[in-house]
Amino acid sequence: MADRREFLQYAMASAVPLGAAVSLDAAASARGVAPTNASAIPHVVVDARHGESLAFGADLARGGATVHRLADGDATDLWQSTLAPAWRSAPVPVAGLTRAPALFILEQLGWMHGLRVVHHVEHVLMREGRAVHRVLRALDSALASHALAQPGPAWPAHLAALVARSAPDESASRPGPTAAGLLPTLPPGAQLLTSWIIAPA
Amino acid sequence: MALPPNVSQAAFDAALRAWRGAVGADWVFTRDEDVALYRDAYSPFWGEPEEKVASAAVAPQTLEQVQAVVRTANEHRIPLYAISTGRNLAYGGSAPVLSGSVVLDLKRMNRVLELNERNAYALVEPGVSYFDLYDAIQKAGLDVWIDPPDPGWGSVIGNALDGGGGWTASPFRDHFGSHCGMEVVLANGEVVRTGMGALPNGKSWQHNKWGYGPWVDGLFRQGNMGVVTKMGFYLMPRPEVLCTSIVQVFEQEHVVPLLDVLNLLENQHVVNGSTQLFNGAFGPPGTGARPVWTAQVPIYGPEKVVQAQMEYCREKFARVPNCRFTMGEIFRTPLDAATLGRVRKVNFGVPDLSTFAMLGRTQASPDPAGGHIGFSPIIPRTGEAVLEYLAFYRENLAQVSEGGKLNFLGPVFMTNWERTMVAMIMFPIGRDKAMNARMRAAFERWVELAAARGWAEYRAPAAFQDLCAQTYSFNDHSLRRFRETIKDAVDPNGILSPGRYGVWPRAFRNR
Repeated sequence: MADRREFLQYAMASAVPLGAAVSLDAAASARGVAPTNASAIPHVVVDARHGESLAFGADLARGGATVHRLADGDATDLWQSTLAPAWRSAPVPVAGLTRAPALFILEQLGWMHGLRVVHHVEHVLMREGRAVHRVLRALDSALASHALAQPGPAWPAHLAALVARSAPDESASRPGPTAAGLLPTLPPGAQLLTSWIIAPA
Repeated sequence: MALPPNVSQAAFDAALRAWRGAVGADWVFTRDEDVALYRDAYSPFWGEPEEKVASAAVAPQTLEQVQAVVRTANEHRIPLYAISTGRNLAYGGSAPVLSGSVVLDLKRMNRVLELNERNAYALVEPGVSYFDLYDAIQKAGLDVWIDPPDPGWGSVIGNALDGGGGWTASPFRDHFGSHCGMEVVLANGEVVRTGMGALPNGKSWQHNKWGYGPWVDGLFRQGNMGVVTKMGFYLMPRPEVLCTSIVQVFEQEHVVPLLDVLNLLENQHVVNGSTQLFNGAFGPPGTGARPVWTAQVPIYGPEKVVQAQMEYCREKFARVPNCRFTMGEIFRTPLDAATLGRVRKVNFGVPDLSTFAMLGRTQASPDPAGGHIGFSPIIPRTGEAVLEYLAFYRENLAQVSEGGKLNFLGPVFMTNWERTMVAMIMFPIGRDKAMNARMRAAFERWVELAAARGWAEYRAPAAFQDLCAQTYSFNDHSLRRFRETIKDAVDPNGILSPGRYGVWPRAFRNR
């Protein structure tokens, strides 16, 4: 449904300077951001229908996170069996790279436990294979933009590195709701993945 | 922080102080980022000045706290908007009908007060979700089912009060119809119990719904006459089996005899499940030639009885020209995990959220639509009515959809209630404000066109509740005026959910 103008508007909103393609370590170091390990976010949710999502999860699993695969995008069982009991005990952070509905329901279920979405980035998988990224909310927006400016198919790895560095801080400002229930207009043939961190705030 | 309409800063501050004293400071929300959580996630006005938003929220945990909150609101004439869990998505969510209202959030009142297996009922508070009630029954090891809607994360009370329906057997899938007894806080803070609950130390509050004298429970369905704080519900004794057969016809007009037989079987209570009617591409995969109409024939009950009933159904459907009857699999309950993984859980009384991952998914559009609003007119459950509605839809589709540029989903014929259908059309809502405006205009046009043909909504998104209420205009809107008379009598300051389902108190009637 999107025409060329709408597509360009979307792409421009995502634009990151081309010169930003430097290593995440260097960028983080320059910004005084210390590396953290993935155990800061113990649960990671991936959509088994997307290779990008599986790659993202595999990287974070190497850092110690428990990865939960959604076979068909439905997060009901994960919430019932794992997240609801965990959140009743303590509001532990959860990250994901999924389609939008999983974020939509987990965000709202998290509110009851004092959790908010502190990282929300949309990744539009274009029909021709490349991805366009749009940082809507991040613990460090500049670092997120840096990470996702890396060209090529390795963006899930850069995203995983970014998430692994993300140490949610309860003293940070408490964000309101995302618009995850309302989808952006996508170019023809494109699909939307969403990366997110739900954490105490 | 916005102010409620017609309320001074001093009065609002005084009310907030009183509410903090009553419920605790942690449960009065005034920060923008907290109040924003009560936005309607599917608002057709998302991000626009007309979006309906709250000014604050207060979350009591007990009946006494609800009374205190209401009394304070009455004293300062502050409009409240009561929600249970606020998950009435596609029909307004937790956002108030009147912008600036203070959300009275009841989700902390989440106790399952009584479960009774022998007479199959439950008594719950508004914050109890279908998941909560299901879990409580499982933990207690009771042999009863709930009837979850799709999705099941909402409040049992909230869904019933909104007029929601589910997917198991009749009469349990009519959620308001299967309730039995209420406790309600009126606008002056007084507590009323309905039905047999009005009898001090009564022993049959959740057994007999009618009690003595005029029955008032209906005033609280899609209403704003009080705040419901407890409600009883009939539960379904676990059926031994569910068998869902399929009937299909291959000519458009054969939907008439198909529904005649199906109605007979339902009205005889031979078929007690949610039948559903699928047209063409919306149907489940057929076998062989493509059917024009497909209906489900679900029967819950003892296996021997269900087998006999299904045989009776097969005989009856043989009257329908060229009708294919496919006997369904018999599912013996309780299901094991593997079987539960391949069925639609809500048909087996198990709450689920999978609808969010599936909603709106088609071959052409593999990603779900996300936000949407539902146009939900009631039509008679006859083949003639279905054909008339389809013809009406096709006659007007090109014009209302701007020549196909607006991608409606539907019509979907839902049979949650006996004798009627909801012929739902869904309108996707996204982040494109201009597109949302076109969707809103299309929604309004469908409402007007349908009303002219004698069809009106059973339920509507908050943004359109006035419009839909206006279509019920018999005798110069005498029903609306009657409701307003009651509203003004029981809530003279108009503090309880002003505007809900088109019922405005005097204070806001000429807003």
